[in-house]
Amino acid sequence: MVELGQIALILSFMMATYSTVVGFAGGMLNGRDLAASARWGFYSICPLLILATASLIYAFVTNDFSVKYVAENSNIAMPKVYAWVAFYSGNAGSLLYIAVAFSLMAGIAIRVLNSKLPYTSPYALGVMSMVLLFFLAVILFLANPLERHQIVLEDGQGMNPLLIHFGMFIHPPFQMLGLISVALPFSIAIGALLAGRGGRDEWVDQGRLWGMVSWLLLTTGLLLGAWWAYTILGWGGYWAWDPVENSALMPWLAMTAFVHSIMVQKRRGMFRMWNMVLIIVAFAMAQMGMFINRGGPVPSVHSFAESTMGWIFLAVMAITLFISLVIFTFRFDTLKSRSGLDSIISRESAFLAQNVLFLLIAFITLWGTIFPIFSEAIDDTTMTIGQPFFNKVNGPLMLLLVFLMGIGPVLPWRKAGWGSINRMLRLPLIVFFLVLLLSLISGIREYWVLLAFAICSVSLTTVFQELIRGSRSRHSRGESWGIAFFSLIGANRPRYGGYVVHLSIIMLAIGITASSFYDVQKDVVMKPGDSEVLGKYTFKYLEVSEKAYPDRVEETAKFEVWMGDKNIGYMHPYRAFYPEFQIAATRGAIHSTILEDFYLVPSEFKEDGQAVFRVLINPLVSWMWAAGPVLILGTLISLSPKNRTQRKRLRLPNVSVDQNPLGISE
Amino acid sequence: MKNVSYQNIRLSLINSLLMLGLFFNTSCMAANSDFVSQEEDRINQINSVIMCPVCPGESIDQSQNEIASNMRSIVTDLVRQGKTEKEIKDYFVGRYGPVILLEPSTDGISIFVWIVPPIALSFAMIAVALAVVVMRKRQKHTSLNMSHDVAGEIISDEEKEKYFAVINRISNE
Repeated sequence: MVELGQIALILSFMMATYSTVVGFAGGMLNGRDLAASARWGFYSICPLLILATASLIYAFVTNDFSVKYVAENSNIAMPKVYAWVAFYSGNAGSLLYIAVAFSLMAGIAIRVLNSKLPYTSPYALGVMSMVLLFFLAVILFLANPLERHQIVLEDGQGMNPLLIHFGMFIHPPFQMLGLISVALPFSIAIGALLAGRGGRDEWVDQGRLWGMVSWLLLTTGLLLGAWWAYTILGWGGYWAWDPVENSALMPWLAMTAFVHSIMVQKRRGMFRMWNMVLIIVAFAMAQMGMFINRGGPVPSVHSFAESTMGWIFLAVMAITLFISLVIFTFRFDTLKSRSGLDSIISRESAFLAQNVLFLLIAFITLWGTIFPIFSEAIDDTTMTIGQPFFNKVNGPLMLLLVFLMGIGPVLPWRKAGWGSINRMLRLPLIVFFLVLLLSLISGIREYWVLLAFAICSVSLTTVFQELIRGSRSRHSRGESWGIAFFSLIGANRPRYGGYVVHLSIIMLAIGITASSFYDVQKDVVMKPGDSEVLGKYTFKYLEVSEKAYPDRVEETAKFEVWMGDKNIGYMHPYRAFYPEFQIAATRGAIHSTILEDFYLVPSEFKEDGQAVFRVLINPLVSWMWAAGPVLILGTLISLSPKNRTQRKRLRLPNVSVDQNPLGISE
Repeated sequence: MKNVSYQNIRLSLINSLLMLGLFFNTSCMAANSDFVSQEEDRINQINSVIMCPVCPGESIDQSQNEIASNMRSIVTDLVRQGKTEKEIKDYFVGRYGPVILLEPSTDGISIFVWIVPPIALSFAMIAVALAVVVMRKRQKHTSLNMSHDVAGEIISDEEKEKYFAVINRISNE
């Protein structure tokens, strides 16, 4: 079975080589048959890789420890359902995961692309194929998960115990999928450039589609990671500005900028050069993310085992960046914008400011992440740059972005006259000061919190304003309020889907602000029978029970908790020690309400029966997790295609090919 | 007109009520700060800027490690002895080197960490200003040119025929 997988890998590699070469040839020679052949070659890769994946999972499930990767990442004691996690938890396996997932996504993208952009798609296929080829080459020659060992062990090493959690079924797959999916809009853009059609804006629709798909995957990966860290790591936080987290954040920032500025190109034919450079940079950042993750130079809790692999990714990133910019320079002249800026106060300039801000935050994140490398190289000073730096610098900038998010959508295109500004922004401005006043009255004194809440309310107001005005105008034409609301959204899905996404961002912003500034933390020493109080919570330590498993010892504490006078039941935080890994993993018990989270974690169980617990009250954290589904809903609304009846099928005239019937000179 | 402003007032009321609800909650939160003693708050604050030496990138506040909890008790002792935050940080730097602090200091090469972001921000603002100026100029230029070109253009009859031939062909498909 494993050998079958190996053959599948070799075949995939050959196929990828074929589609790269033939794809580019088809583009350059304008050969429809060549392009078709390349396409079908590419489609065949996905089933092959699924076969390879199946053989690896089979090896896990049957405890085949002669396969080196299986021995390193699982053991007999591991519940076999975790074979899915073990599959991508190690370096080699994750490469295979990326390859199979990308071959599927790119296959779908190529299918769609070919019907919409027949001249661009051979080139785009060539680029996507090349990306896949790189991964397959690394798998075959450097890190093959199906490689067999000479020595067959009785039992495997087992998986890192921190990975045994439901969140691990979904966070890493989504995150890795997100990073590699940036290759899709990138390939389309480069493909259009190579085909000489970069300035025609025809690629913008597909670029936006796959850009948003990629953005959705990246966001989901990040939110799942934060949620996992919060619920599993027992520290009460959700984002640590860890180098790997940062390297996932940077492409997200670039893609958020991209999905916005691509709208300006669609609407007004502006930002053509900017969008090209932006997507090239976004892809470079995604590659950098993969580099830092795989034996990068900066230590992180996320890193796979240290290996030389990382430097290969870095080299490929540099080469990709270089070649892309060379292509860009050669096709520079096809990218002149159709129009310029009519006014400094307009939606276009708001988009420009927003894009620059996103890239600035990405740059600062990059700077803070790699500066320790510089300082060590230059000065021999070792240092760590962590939360304090990033929160202080990026926090205010992100708040500025939330503000732009609020006023941008209500600024008119081209030019905002004072009349329209007055009409649109009058109410938000009133609400800004009203909310500021209310916050001060209710006792808030930290000026960042005051500012944050006020700005969030501005954004909230503009979204509501738009929804209500739109619904009202439909209602005045005879529809009931309910129908008016839904048909409003249905009639202009990109716009209103975007508003729903903005709502989720506001929820995130409020949750982050409240939990960052108002979280309460206390360490207590208790023995069974003790009761402690924190805020309106009373918690009584009842008992601790110990349970031994083949690979770990678990100590579970049982608490009875009251919120005010109301008994809210039992909570069971536990601490597990894995002697083989010398790791202790804690699982906090969380009682979540819409207002706050009550969070109990055991820090230490002492010999004398006493135990140290950390207790936390985190306000408004559930708003952050609730924001996730809202964000996904908004993105799906925004992406959903128009009804079939609204779309007319365009057919090219069935006449002899006359590319230039009107005799227009280009 | 009257109708519109009525709606607007209703809107702002709804919005403020929403925010009001939020802020009553926040006022409870603000009161939360009384639950934990100031001393404990200080200890947590200091813990969050000291790195655990064996766990990459985690503060001793975050880490579950034994070494981290030992260091936390050292911090607690030092705070109770009345040491200032700087003295405590210096103590740890003396033992582990400057790498132990999560926030880079402002002396030596580390000053660059802090200087570069504001410089980058200024560059960004200048870049945006320049871009706006260039794009404004281009717009003025194009609109001038366009008005000039459109003014005198007349389509010849043969070209008209060509256009209509193509249109008819397509629309008859």
